[in-house]
Amino acid sequence: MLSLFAWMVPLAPLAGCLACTFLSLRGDRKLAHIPAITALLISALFAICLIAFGAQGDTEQGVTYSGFRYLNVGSLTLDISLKVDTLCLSLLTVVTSISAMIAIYSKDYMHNDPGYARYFAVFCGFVFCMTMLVLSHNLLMMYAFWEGVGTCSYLLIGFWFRKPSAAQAAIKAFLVNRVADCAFLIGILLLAFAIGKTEIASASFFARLDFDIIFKAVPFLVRDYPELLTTIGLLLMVGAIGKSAQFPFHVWLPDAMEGPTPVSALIHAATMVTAGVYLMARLSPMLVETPTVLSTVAWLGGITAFIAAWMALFQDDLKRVLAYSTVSQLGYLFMALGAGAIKDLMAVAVVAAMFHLITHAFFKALLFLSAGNVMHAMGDVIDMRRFSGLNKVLPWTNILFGIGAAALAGLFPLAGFWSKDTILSLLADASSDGEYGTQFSVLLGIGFITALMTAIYTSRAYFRTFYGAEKLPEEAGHHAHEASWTMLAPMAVLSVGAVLVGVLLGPTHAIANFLGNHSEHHEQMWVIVASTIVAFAGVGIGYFLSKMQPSTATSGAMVAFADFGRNRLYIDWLYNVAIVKPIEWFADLLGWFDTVVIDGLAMQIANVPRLCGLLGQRVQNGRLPGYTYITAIGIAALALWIATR
Amino acid sequence: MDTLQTIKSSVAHLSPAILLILSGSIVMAASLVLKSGNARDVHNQRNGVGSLSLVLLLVAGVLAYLRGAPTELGHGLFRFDSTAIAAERLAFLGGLIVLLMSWSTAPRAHLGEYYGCLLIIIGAIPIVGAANDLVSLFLGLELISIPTYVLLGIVKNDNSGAEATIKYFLLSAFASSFFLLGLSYLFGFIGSTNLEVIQHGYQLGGKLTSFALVLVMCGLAFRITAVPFHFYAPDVFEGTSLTMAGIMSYLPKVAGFVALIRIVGSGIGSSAVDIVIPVLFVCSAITMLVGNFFASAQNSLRRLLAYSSVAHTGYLLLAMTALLRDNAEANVLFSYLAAYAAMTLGFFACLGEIEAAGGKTMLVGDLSGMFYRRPAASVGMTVCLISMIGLPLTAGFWAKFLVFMGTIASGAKDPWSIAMAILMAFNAVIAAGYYWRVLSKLYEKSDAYVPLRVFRPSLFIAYTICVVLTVVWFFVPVVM
Repeated sequence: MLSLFAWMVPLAPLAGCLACTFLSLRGDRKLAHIPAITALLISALFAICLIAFGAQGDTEQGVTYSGFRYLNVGSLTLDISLKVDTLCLSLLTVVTSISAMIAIYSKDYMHNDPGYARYFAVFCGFVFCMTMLVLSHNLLMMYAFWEGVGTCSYLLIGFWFRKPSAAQAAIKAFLVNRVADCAFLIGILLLAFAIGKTEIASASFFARLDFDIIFKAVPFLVRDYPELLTTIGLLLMVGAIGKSAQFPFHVWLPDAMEGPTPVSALIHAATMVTAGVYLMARLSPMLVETPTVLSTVAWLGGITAFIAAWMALFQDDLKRVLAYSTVSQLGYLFMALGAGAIKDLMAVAVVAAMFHLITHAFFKALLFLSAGNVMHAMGDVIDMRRFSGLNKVLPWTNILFGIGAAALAGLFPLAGFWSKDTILSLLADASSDGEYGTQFSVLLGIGFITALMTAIYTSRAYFRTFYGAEKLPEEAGHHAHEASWTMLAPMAVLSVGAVLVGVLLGPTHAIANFLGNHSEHHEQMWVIVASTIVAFAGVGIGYFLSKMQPSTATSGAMVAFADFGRNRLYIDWLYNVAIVKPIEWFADLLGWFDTVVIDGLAMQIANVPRLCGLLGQRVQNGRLPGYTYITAIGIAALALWIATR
Repeated sequence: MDTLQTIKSSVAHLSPAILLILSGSIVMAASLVLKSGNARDVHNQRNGVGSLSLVLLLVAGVLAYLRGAPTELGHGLFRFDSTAIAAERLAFLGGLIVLLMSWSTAPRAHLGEYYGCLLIIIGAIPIVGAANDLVSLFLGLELISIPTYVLLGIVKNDNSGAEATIKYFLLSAFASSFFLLGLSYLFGFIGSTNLEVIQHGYQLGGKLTSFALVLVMCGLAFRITAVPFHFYAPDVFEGTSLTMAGIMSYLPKVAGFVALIRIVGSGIGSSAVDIVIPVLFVCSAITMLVGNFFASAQNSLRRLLAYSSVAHTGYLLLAMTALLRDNAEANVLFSYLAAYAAMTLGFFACLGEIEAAGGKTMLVGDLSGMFYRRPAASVGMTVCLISMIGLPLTAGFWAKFLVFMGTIASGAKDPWSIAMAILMAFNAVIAAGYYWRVLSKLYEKSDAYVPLRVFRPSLFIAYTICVVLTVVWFFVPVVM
């Protein structure tokens, strides 16, 4: 029964994907949302059923529902199975329910687009891959769907592929992810190799990568190959931070905003980019043995959180503000996971990261959809310099964006407040540790500064967009209007989540209990008070800044600070000069070598079979006596050879 | 009593095959009587005989399904092991597609004879598969050969058709003589016609057994179009109808390989394996190279397909060595044959549809811009060609992969085995070259193209089945 539920979760979107693919082949522009929304609602329903019926069962330890044996060649066996435990269920529910909401929203947002059916086909394909990724029982299978979500992301970023910037952004996202995935794959293979050296070596190469077997092998690996385990951990971490757009791989995510806005909401804010965090959380029983990796993760998360918030402060494009904000919030998640470097805190760290992941998914999706409403009404203009005072035009969007922004800024008692608070008090706990205390004290400071900056840029963007003198760009025409109810209704659902999820899961310890961490963890009062103060101060500063003209900063340091922020800290420029340009130059060289030498050679070699065939054709002359003659010679030669051996 | 038991259980297990052969004979005989009546409506006759044959095949399939797994394998004339069941499945799968292809392409003057012969061929393959005696084996093989001569003769009533028929007939007789000569040596040496006894007898060894085995294998090489018995293939494929070429490329090949498994199957000892393997290696290498070299020099599509079928035989022979070495069930070989059935018959069905709609399919160039003239069939051909190349997302990928891996895994200690695997990879590249040439022709932009609009549901269904199987088998290779 539960096995059927578990299989229905990914299979429903797959069916939706196939139906929409069929519709897109027929050039449909009207019907594709029906199979897609139905499939995603079914998937969400079954995910919720899994929680409802599996809670009293043994899902806490994790159950593996066997599927089918995909491959069985010699010593290669590959089973496709689903591993269901509470960690997986918590993300699964978020993914399926939010994707269903966003699919409903997309119905009107994408209406009349020539690629309507294609959009829903890839959308469902993404949800299929994402749910399979979450449900994987095997690291290699996870990697396969990891690439699957990457491909869907590529297709959706480049959805309007005739626009050069969209095509460029899609390629950029794909290539940056490839670099990281390369390390990820090497890590996976090294891990399989290392497990093969231990006592519990399983016969099949693939079966060794089952999560259960990996965790069983960890004590042996720690005993025999501690350095190798750290290397593996670092390689897997590179994969995770690539997908989750952490420094130094963060460059692709802001550009990914070229895709349709609901896609940004779903893939590049709520779900896919959290896959890296999920991977780390999934492997936490292994990573807890490699504190070096986790402390690296914490540093990278801290750096990312800070620099992304810095860049977000100086963006004029509303969607880009949200994109940098996503990068920054993902940095928080990694900081939280990094606190697991202190062994006792690992369980709490996973809970904190998953908690913030869930709340963030709700309010960030809400914010992106609100930005989508703005874009829809403004005739695809999203530059905040060109519109303001929209609260009259978009009254509902104003409220919904306000709720999302308040949650992001961490205002009491919205969702972001509780989850951010959990992370900050976790870091405060970690800073009292002996070995890593200093590191986490610094990171706690970064956490507070970033929280302040988050509140500033969020409120600034909100007030700039919705208040002040009413100004509309000419692209909006005369019909700038509020979004339709089919767009507002799913946003309302998300806003309820953005308000309530935090207070329902956090203070009641519901999420901690669900994830199997029953140890009491005390919030520290000073952290709560300090973060509240920081949040309100940030909103105040943001309101003040929104009144100012952007270029009124006078002091030299401020100008430099703003200049760096606006130019993305010159990181993209640096990559371009230091990596892209040399590679392009080298590629030109190889291209020349390829056309002149390799192709020349290959064309000659390619002619050989044809020439041999033409020569041989003389034998095939259509005359029976010739045929029998050659056949007889052949048999005689064979018989002689065998007889004289 | 004992004999009666064997006969009773043999009849029970061979009931699908017996049903097909008997009904085939009845159809043939009935057509003689019925044709004298004044039934001039060819269309109704086509539908009538076509659906009758399909129903018969369906009934045979249901019978095979109801029969279940045998409790007693048997040691007499027939033996019902996994090879027998796999051969039956392959025959019915190919038979289904071939019957669908024949629906609109069977010669109108000889409908009864055509379907009768076809049913007998389909029914004879399970007999070969279950044969456990030289007599029953030869009986099964001749039950395939003789209707094939008839079919070749009636499907195309012109000079090239006659040439193809005569060539096939003479060369087939030539090969059968070698086969029989080999069998007589085996019988004379071992003193039994029972194949299990003969397989044990290989252990006694000696030059004479090796010689006999070579002769038998050469005789079977004709059925599977291995070099140097492949000469008839291009001439016959060019001379006969498309459907018949499809039949010739698949059904005799299944029979030949099943017979090969029966004679040098997994029961033979290691000393016999040492004799057989080098022969198979040499045959496989030459067959692959000749098939691919000649195919890449072809401009005629039919001859290209004939040589491609020769090349596939080379890969299958390699699969045969893996099978012998591992003492394994015939999984690798049969999954390759299944994938081969889907892609080759699918390709011929697509060509058949184009021809039925009025297009030409003799030369590779005739397919130029076919995607814009006949999109559905072109997409079908694309999938089949990709499967023939052996790229992922198609069954052909697993088929080639399994053979490749099987050869390496079973012959890990034998450098020649590794060399053969590499040669196979090398040949797959050459093959990709000429398949790609056909594939790129399909999508060539041509200025003046005329859409082909005539629609033949039976052919469409035939290649749809093939394409769906080709794709599905990639995702669920276990059932292949």
